[in-house]
Amino acid sequence: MVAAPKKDMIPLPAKIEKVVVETDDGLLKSFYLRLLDEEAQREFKHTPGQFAMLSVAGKGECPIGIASAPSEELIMFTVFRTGLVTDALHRLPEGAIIGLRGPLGNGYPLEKFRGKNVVLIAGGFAVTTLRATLVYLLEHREDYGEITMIYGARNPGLLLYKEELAAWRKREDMKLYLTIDREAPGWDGLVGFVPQITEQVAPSGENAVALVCGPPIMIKFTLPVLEKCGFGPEQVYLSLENRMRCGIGLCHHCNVGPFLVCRDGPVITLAALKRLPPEY
Amino acid sequence: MYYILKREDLRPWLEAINREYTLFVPRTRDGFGPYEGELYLEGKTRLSAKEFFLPWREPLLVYEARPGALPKVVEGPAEQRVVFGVRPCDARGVILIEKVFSPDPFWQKRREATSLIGLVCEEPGTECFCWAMGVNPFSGEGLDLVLVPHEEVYLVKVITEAGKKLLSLSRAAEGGEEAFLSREKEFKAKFPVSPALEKLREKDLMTIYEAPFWEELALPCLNCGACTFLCPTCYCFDVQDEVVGSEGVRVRLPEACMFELYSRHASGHNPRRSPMARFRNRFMHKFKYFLDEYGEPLCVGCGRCNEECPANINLWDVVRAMSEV
Repeated sequence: MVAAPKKDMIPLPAKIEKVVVETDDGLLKSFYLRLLDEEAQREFKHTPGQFAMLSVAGKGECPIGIASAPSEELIMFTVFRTGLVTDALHRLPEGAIIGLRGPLGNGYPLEKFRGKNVVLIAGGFAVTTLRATLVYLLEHREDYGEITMIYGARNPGLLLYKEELAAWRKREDMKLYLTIDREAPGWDGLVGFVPQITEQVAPSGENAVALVCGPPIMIKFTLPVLEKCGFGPEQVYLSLENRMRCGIGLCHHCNVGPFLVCRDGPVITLAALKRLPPEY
Repeated sequence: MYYILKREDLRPWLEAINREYTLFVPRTRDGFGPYEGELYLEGKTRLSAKEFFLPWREPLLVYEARPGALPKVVEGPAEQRVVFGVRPCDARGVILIEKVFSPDPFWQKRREATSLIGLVCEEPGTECFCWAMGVNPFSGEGLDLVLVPHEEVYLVKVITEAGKKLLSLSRAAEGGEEAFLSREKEFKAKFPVSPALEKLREKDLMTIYEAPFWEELALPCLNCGACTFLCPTCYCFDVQDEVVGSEGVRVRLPEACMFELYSRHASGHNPRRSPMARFRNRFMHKFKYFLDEYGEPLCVGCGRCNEECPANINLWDVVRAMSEV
């Protein structure tokens, strides 16, 4: 039985089992967590695209997308060191106890995507929840059509999940296009911004969905490309983020007009987003 | 069930309640406090009864400030409280906030432990407009008892069992139904709901949002947030970890959407960077987003924002503009 989502603001203690420094600049680390309560750990079931609140006592809480797939044993988050809480988190060693509240938000409607081609487009460290999605899709490979991932970073050292990328590259049942912004020594892959590469790859919008996660500037230039490829606004899924305090629809910080990112999102179709005030 | 309580019997009743429960009353124009004899009944208080449910500090967790320490969940207050002198507009504010907060355990606990005795205003206010926002002060909504000052007595309507029990501590005698109902009827005939609400319901959200009037109306706003803290329906909160020495506590605090920090991301990006965007968000929330989602505006017409705004902004200028765009 799946436990009902928690409606209070009390985090569960979780142990950092493993820390992986993902990027050359050291600003991104993956934290592999296990809830101390065995039953809670067993019952932790999420959908790719959902997030959780991570908390460091004395510093606070912040929302982070869940980067692990539901089938994976440990709950994994790849965290950019940028604010008070993420800075404190980055200083913690393996074995430390932090707080976790989640899963929260809606996640991608993966059941609805069955039988369709799925295009995942990621820029920078926004790739995290798409990693969770891709792992899920590959585990349920026969349920989906073609799987394409386009993933770009500023330079090779900023690509996350390098070992997995190498493995996905070798697979015959998916296409992976990795790109970096500018030429770099030792890089023999694609060079160019994500929108340009998307234009070259030109995925067809027929019987397909596109999941786009990245910095606003990347999204801005990728959306017209997808439109040209035949993706209607109902076929494009984005993931919003806004500052939030509670994650459960109470504190109202994360509102985009009437849409609460924590309660109604973070995943939203482009069609729905177009009906909202541009407050994200 | 209707009762009549003589005005001179009010004090003895409050004394009796205070012997059995923790009683809070409006003590001065500033706000409520524990009953110690002071009683301010001339009008509504500056701070609303919202504080009894969304207090200025709500501790959620306490922890020892050392790595690996497990936080302890704070048990919310369980002490039975009675609040006397709650204006019907404030009680309605509680009902509106509850539409959002009903799943919150801290809210639930405070609601269960608190009885509210309402007091209708002697005269309809000149600065407030509960009726325009659809509040019927005689309904007793959100209250356990409602008192209507009437000539030399209070007409009392019992709303809940808890209210009935409280009233049994008084010398109130059954009766007064006719007078109560005629007062209610008279009020409703004289003070209708604002037609602006219906117009707001019908208007397209983005039409209001993109209207040109926002710049002009927001111009005087200092984004000080006074309106949000005084508002009996504003419920946004912040969460802070406070560490003093080796003791840490995570607290929930009232927050204002007027502040730049409210929506600023850790990256520095802010979706509502301009003061106008924040001003607009507050009114859109109250008179469009909430109205669309719950069918009622997030406003009870208490008029505190108008009275206390240092820039003299009047809510009606905004509501009118929104409904007529």
